[in-house]
Amino acid sequence: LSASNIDAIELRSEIGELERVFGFIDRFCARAGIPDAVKYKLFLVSEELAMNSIKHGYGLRRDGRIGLKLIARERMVEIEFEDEAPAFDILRESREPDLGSELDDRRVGGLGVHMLKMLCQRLDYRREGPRNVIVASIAPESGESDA
Amino acid sequence: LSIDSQIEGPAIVVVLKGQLDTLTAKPFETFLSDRIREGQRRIVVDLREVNYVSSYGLRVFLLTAKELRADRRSFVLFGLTPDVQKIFRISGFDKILAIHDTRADAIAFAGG
Repeated sequence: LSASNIDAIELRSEIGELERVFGFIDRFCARAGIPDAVKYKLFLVSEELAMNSIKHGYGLRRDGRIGLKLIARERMVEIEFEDEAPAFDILRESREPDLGSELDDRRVGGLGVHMLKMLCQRLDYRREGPRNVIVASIAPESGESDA
Repeated sequence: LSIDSQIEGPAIVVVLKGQLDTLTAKPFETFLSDRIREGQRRIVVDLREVNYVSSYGLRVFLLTAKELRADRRSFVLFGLTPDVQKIFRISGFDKILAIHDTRADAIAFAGG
């Protein structure tokens, strides 16, 4: 891995920090030559994880710490996300959205985690001492690889 | 995100540029609810220059569509980029919202 293929950022548990997350991903993708289609998936996954941590993990407390690391590997990008909120396995504890239902009775919740699962080739959670660690890997779909 | 709007016959076309995420969803939601409160019956959203929509952005579309439908008003989207289309597909929103390719089709569908 060369220096342009790995980078990390530290955030506070504040919604406004998303601005920095998008900027960080933008610059990382430009340096590592990652196509836009993958960049927007990184946006989605990082935004969902960060918002979940800020709202549910830290309960909107603004002094929590969040770490986000990106690693561009051959044909995939890995996101390593961590926080120091109480243990919470986002993958196990969230309900599925009702994707099939009609507009009128479609619920608003549950969507974010569903999208995470759809976008990530791998999505793992572990508790490491005081930290929640989520590792997500995102691969370009066939046909949109290095364009 | 920039939000502009144009009146086109009986419809209002809301032109978005940029990205619709947790940070920008709120001003967009407020903009739409102001138009609804003013009595707009046909709202069309131009997404040609939107490159990213997160689940928080999708939530605004869903809530607005529900509110307008309950009142027999129309809410139509058009001009989704391939990246945004993918997000709509994954979320299943492509099946529950009215989405068209062109502005003319969207306005016609809205009844403009």
